Amino acid sequence: MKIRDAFRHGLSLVNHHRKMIGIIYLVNLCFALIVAAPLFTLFHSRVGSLVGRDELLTGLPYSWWSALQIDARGLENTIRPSLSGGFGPLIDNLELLLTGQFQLYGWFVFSLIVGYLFIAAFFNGGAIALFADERRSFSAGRFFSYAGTYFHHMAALAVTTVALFALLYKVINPAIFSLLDRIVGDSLSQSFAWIVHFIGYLFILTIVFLITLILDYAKVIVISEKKNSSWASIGLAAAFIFRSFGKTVGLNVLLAFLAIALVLGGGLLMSIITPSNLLLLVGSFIVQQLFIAAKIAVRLTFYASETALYQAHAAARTMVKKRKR
Amino acid sequence: MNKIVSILFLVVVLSGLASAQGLPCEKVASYKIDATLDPLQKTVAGVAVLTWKNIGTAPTSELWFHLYLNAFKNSKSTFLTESARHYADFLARFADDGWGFCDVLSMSASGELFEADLEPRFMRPDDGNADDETVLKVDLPAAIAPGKTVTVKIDFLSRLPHRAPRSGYRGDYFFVAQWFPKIGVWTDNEWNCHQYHAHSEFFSDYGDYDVRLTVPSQFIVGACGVMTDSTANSDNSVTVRYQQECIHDFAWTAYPHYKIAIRTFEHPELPAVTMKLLYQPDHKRYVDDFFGATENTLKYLGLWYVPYPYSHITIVDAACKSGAAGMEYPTLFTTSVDWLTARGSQEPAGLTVHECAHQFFYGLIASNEFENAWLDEGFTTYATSRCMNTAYGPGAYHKIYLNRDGLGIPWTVSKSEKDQRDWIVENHRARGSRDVMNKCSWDYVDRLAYRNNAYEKPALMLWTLENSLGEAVWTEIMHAYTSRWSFKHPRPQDFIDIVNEFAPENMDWFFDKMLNEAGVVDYAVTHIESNAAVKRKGYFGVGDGRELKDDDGEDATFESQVHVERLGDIQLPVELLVTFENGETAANVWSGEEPVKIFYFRGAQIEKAEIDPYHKVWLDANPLNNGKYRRADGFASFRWGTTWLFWLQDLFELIAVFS
Ligand SMILES: [Zn+2]
Repeated sequence: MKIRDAFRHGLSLVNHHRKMIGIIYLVNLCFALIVAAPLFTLFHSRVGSLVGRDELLTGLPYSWWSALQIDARGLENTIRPSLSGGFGPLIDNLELLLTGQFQLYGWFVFSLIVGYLFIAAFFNGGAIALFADERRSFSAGRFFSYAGTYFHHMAALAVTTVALFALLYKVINPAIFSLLDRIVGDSLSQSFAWIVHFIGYLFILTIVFLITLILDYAKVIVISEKKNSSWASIGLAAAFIFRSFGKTVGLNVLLAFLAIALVLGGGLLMSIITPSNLLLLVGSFIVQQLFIAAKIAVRLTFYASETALYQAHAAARTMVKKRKR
Repeated sequence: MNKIVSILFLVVVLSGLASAQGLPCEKVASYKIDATLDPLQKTVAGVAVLTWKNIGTAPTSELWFHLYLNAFKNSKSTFLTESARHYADFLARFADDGWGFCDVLSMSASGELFEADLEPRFMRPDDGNADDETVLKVDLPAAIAPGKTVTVKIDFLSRLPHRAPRSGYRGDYFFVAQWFPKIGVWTDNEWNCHQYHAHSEFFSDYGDYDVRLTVPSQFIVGACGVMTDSTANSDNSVTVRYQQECIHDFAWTAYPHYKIAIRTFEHPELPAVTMKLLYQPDHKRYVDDFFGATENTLKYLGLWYVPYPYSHITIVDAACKSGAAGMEYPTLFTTSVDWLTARGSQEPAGLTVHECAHQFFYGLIASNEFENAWLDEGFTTYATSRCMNTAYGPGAYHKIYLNRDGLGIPWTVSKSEKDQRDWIVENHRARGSRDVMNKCSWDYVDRLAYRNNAYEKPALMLWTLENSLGEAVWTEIMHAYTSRWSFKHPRPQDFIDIVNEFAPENMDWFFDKMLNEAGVVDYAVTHIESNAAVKRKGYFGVGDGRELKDDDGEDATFESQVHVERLGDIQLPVELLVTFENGETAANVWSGEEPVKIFYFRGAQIEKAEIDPYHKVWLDANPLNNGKYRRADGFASFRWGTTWLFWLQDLFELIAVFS
C-alpha cells in the first residue's frame, strides 16, 4: 500500500466513524468545563464591574494582566497575555512537547492532563478497534465495548509512552543541551549559539516523532493481532517500522503536515476574529470548538491511516506466507 | 574597508572637534594617558598624568583616587562581597584566574612648591573592609591652596577581569572602563571618594582627556572622545589617540570583529552630532535601530531639556555575556540586542535610548550616583519612558519560546499592548515598600530595594509630578534643571528648589514623602451603590410654613454612595470622577488622608466611579482597582472563560499524543 492510499483510506475510515469525533469532543469539552466553570465565576467577580473591562474583549492589556497578578489565585495565574492571540494558546501548548514542562501551569492542571491521558487511552482502544474492524458502520455500543476490552493494553502503552518521554525530558534533553552548551563554549556569536540550540531541538523533535510512531503502531498491532502482551507489540511495532521505514515515516510526516496545516489555519482564523461584541464573541467560541473537533479528527486520522497501512502490509505478508506454503 | 571608514571618521570628527571647543565646564581633573593593551595577558599598562585643580574653599594636602578594578582582585572585595550576596554564582566567572586588578607602580606629584614621590595607602571610607583596595589616598608634602593645581604622574598596570560587570574581557573582546586611577571629588572641603560597590560607581569632576591607546593592529578601537590620530607601529601594533574636553570619565573598547557604521544626527533646532556605531558581525540588521534610537534620544531630550553639547557620540553594541552591555560613559555608551528579538520588545531601542539618555543624566548633569542614585537612574528611566512613548508608542507583550539563555523563538502578542511605564509600575509594585529613596546605594537591604528606589519609584514620581503640575510648568522645571546644572554636580535639594521655584505651591511636602517614606500609593474604588431616595415624610419647615409631607420630594430620585480606600502607605491627593447613568458627571478631589472615605450623591443612578480618572498618579501601584462600574457584566469574563477553556481543551488534545 502506498502512503497516499493509506492516508486516503485513513481519512475515509474517520469519515465513516465520524460520530466518534463527536463523542470524544463532548468528553473533552465536559472534562475541561469542570474546571473552566469555577474559573469563569472567579474571573467574573474580579473583572465584571471594573472600568476598562471592555478592553479585555479585544485583548489582554499588559497593565491589566500585570495588576491582576497581584492577587491572582490558583487557576487565575494561568491567564496570560499569550492566550489572547490566535496562535498563543496553540504555541504555548506545542512548546511543551519540546520542553516537557507539563507542570508549568501548576499541579492541578497537571493532574487534569494526567486524567485526560487515561480517558484518551480508553477511547484509543475503541477507535483503533473500529478502524481495524471490517464492518464500516459506526456503533456507539461497539465503540465503548472495544474501548473497555482494550483499555488495559492502551493504558499500559500510555504509561510506557509517558515513561519514555520522562526519560527524554529528564535525562536525554539535559544531556543534549549540556553537550551543545559545551560546543557553543565561549563563542561570542549569538547566531552560532542559536543554530546549535535549534539543532538540539530538531533532535528532540525527531525523538518525539519516533517514540509516538513506535507506540502508535504498538497500539495498532496489539489490537489488530489480538496480542496478549502490549510489551511484545512494541517490539513488533519497532520491527514493522524498521522493515517499512520509508512508508511508516512518510505517512506520519504527511499526517504531521495535516496537523500543522490545521494549527496554522486555525491560528490564523482565530487571530483575525476580535471578539469585540456578543456576536463575534459567540462566533469566536464556535471557531475554537470546531478547531478542537478538527484536532480530534486529525488525531484519529493518524490511527486510522496507520491501521490501514499496517493491515495492508500484514495481509500482503500472509498472502506471501500462504503462497510459500 | 575598515581603514577607509576610520579615515573618513577622522576627518569628520576633526572638523567636529574644532566646533566643539569651549564647552562651559570647570576643568578640575584633566588626564593625559598613554596605555597599551596586552590581549594575551589581559592587561593594560599605562602612564597617566593628571592635572588637578582645587576649586574648593579650603586647601588640601591629600589626594584620593578610585582604583575600581581592584574590586575584582579577590572574593573579599566590597564589590564582590555585595554581588555574591545579591546574585547567585557570581564568583564562578573568575574561577579560571579571571581576576582583575589595578596596581599603582609608582606615583609622583609636582605642585607649585614641591616635587615628590608619593606613598599610596588604601582607604575604606564606606565599610572599613580591610580586603577592599578600591580607594587609595596619598599625602602631599604641601597643601594645594584653593585655585591652585597639582600634577600627578602615575604608572599603573591594570588587569581586566573575565566577564565582570561593566569592565573586562570575554575571549578577544575587551571593554575597558574604570581602568585607570581616577581621582575623587573634593567637595564641601572634603574628599568624596567611595569604594566601588555592586550598584554604584560614578562621581567625578570634569576635565580634558587626551588618551593614546596602543593595541595589536587587528583590533578595532572605540573610545570616549574623538579619534584625532592613528599611527601604525613597527611591532604590528597601532596607536590611536582620543581627545575630548569637558568629560568626567574615559572608557574604551577593543575587538577585532567589530563592524563600523557612521551617520550624522541632524535636526533644524539642534547641533549636528556624528554617530559612530561599533556593532557585532551578526547584528547588521539592527544598525538602523541602533542609530534610530540614538537619534530619537538626541532629538527629544535635546528639545525637551538641553541640546547634546558634544559633536559626536559612540554607540557600542557589546558582545553577548561580556558584562559590558548597558553602560554609559561620556560621549560613549554600550547597548546590546539578541540575535532574534520580538517586535513588541522594542529592542534594541529600549536599552539604547536608556543608555543614550544617560548622556544627559550622568554625562551632562553629573550628580553623585553613589549617594543620590535616583538623580541619575531615576531621571534616566523617566526620560527613557517618555522618549520611547513619544518616538515608538506602546510595545507589546512578548515571549521567547524554547528560551535558553535568552536565545529562542521570539513572539509578539500584539493584542497585549504595553506602555513604557507599565513595566516600571510592575516592578515598583512588587518592591515599592522596601526602603526609601534618600539613601546611599550600598546601604539598601537588597538589589531589588535599590532598583526600586534608584530607578522605578523616582521615574514614577517624576511622571506623577509632570501630570500634576501640567506640561507648561514641567517643561520650565526640566529645562531649568538641565540647563543650570549641566557640567555640574546637583544634589536632590537643587532639583527640589527648582520645582518650588516654578510650581504654584511649595512641593516640599511631596518630596518629603517621596524621598523619606517607604511604601506605595494605591487608591481603590471599593463600593458603589444607588438606592431609591428615601421618601419625604414628616414635618418640613417652621412656624406657619411647617407642612406634613409624604411625597418623593423634588431634588432626588436616587441617593448614591461611592467608597474609596487608600490601600497604600503613601498619601497623595487624588481626583474622583463619578459618571451617572444620565450622562452627567461629578468631579471631586480627595486628600487621601483617611484610610476610607464615602462620597454621597443625589440624582441619577451611578454608572461608574473612577479615582485618578486621567491616570496622573503613575505612582499608583495598582491601577486595576481605580475604577468600578455599579453593575457587573459578563462579557469580559465570558471571553476569557472561553479562551481559557479552549487553551485547556487544546492542551488535553496535545497530551493525547502520549496516550
Ligand atoms: Zn541606567
